[in-house]
Amino acid sequence: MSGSQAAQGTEPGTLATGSAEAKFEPKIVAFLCNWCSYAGADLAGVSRLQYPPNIRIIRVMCSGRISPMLVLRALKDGADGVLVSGCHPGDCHYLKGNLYARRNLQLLRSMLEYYGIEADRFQMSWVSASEGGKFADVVKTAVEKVRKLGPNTRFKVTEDRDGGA
Amino acid sequence: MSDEKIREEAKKALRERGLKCVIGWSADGTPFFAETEEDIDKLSFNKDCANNLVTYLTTEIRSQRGKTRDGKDKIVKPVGIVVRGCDSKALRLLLNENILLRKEIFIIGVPCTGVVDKHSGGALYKKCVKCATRNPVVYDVLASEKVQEDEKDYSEIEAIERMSPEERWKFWEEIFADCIRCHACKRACPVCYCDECLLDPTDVAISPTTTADEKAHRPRWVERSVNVRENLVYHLARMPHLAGRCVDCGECERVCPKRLPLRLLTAKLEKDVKEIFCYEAASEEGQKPLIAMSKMEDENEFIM
Repeated sequence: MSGSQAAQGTEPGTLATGSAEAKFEPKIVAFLCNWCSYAGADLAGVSRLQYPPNIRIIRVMCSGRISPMLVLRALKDGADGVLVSGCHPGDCHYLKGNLYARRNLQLLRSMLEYYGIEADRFQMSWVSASEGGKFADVVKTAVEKVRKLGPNTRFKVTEDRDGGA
Repeated sequence: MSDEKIREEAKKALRERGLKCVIGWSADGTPFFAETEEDIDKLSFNKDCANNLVTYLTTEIRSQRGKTRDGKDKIVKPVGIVVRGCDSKALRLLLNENILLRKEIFIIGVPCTGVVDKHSGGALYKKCVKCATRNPVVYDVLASEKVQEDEKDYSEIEAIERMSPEERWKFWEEIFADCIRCHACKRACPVCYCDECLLDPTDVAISPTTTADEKAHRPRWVERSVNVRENLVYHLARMPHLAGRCVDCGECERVCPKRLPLRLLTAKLEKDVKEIFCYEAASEEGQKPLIAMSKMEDENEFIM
């Protein structure tokens, strides 16, 4: 009972309809900092730059706010990848928030890799408010990398693995 | 020899410093709270003394804290404790983090040559075979002569790092499928001292004044159901909390009822912290926490 409930409740990584693999479109949660990366994304939009529509943007005040728990939660709840983007080192609106984020998240990334979860599911970038072009490139690269990895299966509840649990 | 010294020093401290109790082990290796001089005669240290007693110390001291009716801080009676090398590192970490105060503790250090895993028929715990922290790093008195320490051995971790991602995942998936999430690992961990743990929804304090609204809005980072996904998130989420704090005392692995190799996780973390940030938990007194520091020149390669 609970097994089937769980399986119904989570349907990660499948935007695609119809035949599965060829059409796999990754879902990527992007945490962008208010001062640089979000403005960068805005600039990309205003400049009419094309980038893949696979990202779902969540604006945060600073990349230093991104606790590893948020990244894990996104992956757990069905995102195929997570992108965290902040100001360049030295440019943080709060002086050192991005440096804290870098420390914290680098360890998370290394641990993910150690657990056998592809490290590219979690990516980080520095994008300043004037780098609309870079933002578009970052998203393109991130989506390509995750597309190559395929759907996020490690965090999926499956009948055969978790059976009646 | 060291037993007599432990008892002698414990008695002396009990009399002179007015200790509330001395936390140590009894001869069969179970933790023992000695409150009187007769009790102290039962204290001992031998190869069966596997528990890390620092967890008990934190609970004991914190239970004494609080305010009196007229708003003053309650007086905390000092507590004595017997620690091995690895325990003393955890103790130093708690001192660095101001969870414990040095004046509240009387520390009897016992250099240790390894303790025995009762479940494995008399072999030493894996952490004890090659141990870099045999001698206590913080103590008031030492119960015996210092002993020779080894180099830290990361060969097991390196073997896992050499696997392909698929192999690694297979390896961990089996382990996480076994985990029953009893939370013993975090309960026993001497550096996991939060009253409310975000990984355990049953842990959150609910008082008569907690409204239904508040209860409903508690974030549930990890669901209570036990399956590979939730177990994986639980064991992943513990790691950032232990970054630069885990002293590799091996309590998590020791208390695990399913005998999961949890030290493979924490030792990897320790290795990363050492390699990437040149930082070692509790390696010096008054050290700042790893993630409360930042440096412009930290590694930047993984960032686009």
